[in-house]
Amino acid sequence: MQMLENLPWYGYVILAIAIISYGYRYFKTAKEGYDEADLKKAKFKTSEESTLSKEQQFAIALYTPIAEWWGADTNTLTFLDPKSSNRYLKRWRMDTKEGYWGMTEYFMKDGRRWYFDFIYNMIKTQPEEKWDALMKDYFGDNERAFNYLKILKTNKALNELKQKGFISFDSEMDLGIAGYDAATLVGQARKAYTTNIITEEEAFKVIKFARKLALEHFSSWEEFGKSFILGFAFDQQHAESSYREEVYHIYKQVLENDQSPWNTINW
Amino acid sequence: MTKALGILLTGKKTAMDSLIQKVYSAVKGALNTIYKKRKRMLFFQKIMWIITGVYFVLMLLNMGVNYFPNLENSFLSFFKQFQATPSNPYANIYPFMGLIVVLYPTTYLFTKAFQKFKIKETETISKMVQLLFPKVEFTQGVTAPSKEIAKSKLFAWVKANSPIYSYGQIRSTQNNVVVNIADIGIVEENVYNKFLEGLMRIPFLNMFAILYQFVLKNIFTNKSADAVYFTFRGMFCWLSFKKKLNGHTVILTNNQSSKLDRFFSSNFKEEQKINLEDPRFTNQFLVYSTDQIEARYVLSTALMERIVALKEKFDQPILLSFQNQQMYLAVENANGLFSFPSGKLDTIKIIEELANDIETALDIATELKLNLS
Repeated sequence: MQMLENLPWYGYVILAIAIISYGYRYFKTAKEGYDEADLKKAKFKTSEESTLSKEQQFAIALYTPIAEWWGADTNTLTFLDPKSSNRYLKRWRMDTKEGYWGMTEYFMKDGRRWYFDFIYNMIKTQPEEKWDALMKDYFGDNERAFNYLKILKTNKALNELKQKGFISFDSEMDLGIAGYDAATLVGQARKAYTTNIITEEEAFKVIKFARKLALEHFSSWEEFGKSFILGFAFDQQHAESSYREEVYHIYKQVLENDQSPWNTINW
Repeated sequence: MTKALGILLTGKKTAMDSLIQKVYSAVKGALNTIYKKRKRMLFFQKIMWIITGVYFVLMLLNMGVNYFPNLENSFLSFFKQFQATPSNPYANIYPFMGLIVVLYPTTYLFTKAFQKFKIKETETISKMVQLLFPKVEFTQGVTAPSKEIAKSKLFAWVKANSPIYSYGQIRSTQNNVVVNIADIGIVEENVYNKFLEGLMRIPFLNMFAILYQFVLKNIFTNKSADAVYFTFRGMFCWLSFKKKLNGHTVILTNNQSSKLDRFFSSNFKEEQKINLEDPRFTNQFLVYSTDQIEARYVLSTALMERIVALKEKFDQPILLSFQNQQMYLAVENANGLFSFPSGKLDTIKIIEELANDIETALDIATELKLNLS
């Protein structure tokens, strides 16, 4: 304290600047520091009790990047435990039979590809001055649609993926995001089955649909993966950047690791 | 047949010449703006580093005063006023405050000038590439093809964590052959950088190493700040062919540096030097391979002649490698493929060089008459 008493006038100025700058950093960016991404190593856990057929294992593998983020097995229909699965379903308001089927039917029929396909084609083919009218005609006042337009218009998601090295050329967006919808359907069915909202038979019906959707649109894990990550980046722009970073980190391992279902199960 | 090919090639050249003229008219103004922006950016870059350099030297002298307490009426005695004394205990803070006051605005001005220059440069390059080659895909802001670069084994010191930067990438698909061209910059841990790293650990000598590496280099360069430390800058191109090779064959420029790098690098111990017969080829290139027989199979007399011709066409050092089902090519270009050189830019030569480099790389499979099936 005595040292502080002997400071010259400019010493107090420097001290004040240092305190203000520290305070600014603490309150402004400390949150980001707190939310720093927890970059996990993918484990590709398997259960010895798995009885899934090859077809079923292939379909389950569609959800691998997010399943790995949760730390779930890669070869079972069960997803972690009922408590963890329910936490997810509650957030999506799918923790009831009606809620689950409402969302699942939406993802089967339209999903996020409904937004993406229209907006992406509109941006590519129509002059910007027409966009607003076209969007209103197609989506009405759908807030999500206008948020997606903003993301696509500014190339926010695309640039993020380019910087990560997952996408190289704009034309790769032509793949669409059906891969993300297919993966989401698989994940939701696994969680709903684990919490006893749906039966095993019902879960496999949804998973079979997701498999068909993926096979109709893509001819390799590479193509499917690009579509999945594009959809994820596009749909999760509102989420914490640390969450996206974590999934990107896992996704890279799912693509490259020899133990990954994407490298052990043939497309 | 030859006459028809001649007519076709002449027609292609005339069409390209008129396209180059058209592109030049479209970007002439932008090139002039980039020249001015680069000049401004380099001015602030130099000022910033001169201030840093001067301060660095003054601080060294200031510290040095302590070792010469009896110096009166000499240059060093000037620094005595910045020594802490009981009556002025904070005198040594003055130089630091001065540094912050002068350096902060200069750094700010440099950063702004650098951003404006880079934005204009990338916009113009993108426009030029799209006008010259409308059928290819071009992207910027994408990560460097690090995996391909490592696999190519063209760079003896590239490791998984080596900093590799990309300034843009082209992809072209013709007759089922996909050619990728990237403009890359690599900072390798080569012999020179390892030596410098060692120097940085020696007290006293490291002061001079820092002064040279971080201050003088930035003051006396005409390159923008992002490109000062590259050990390789230029084009990196890769394409696939159907024929599977078991080993890998690398063709490097025949000079002492390539030999030294190969000798000291621990990455390439399995390869042998291949002695070939064509003197025109061996005078210019060194060949290393994991498989003597395969290397001779790949490097037929005709291919060696075409590689020599390719080097002449690029008019720059080239490196090639064949591995598995891939061919890799690197062409050195100190200014980079998708960046502009220093000096006046309002000349058609800039567009001609860019068009020539991209066109030659896109035609690489035809140029080398690679057996792709």
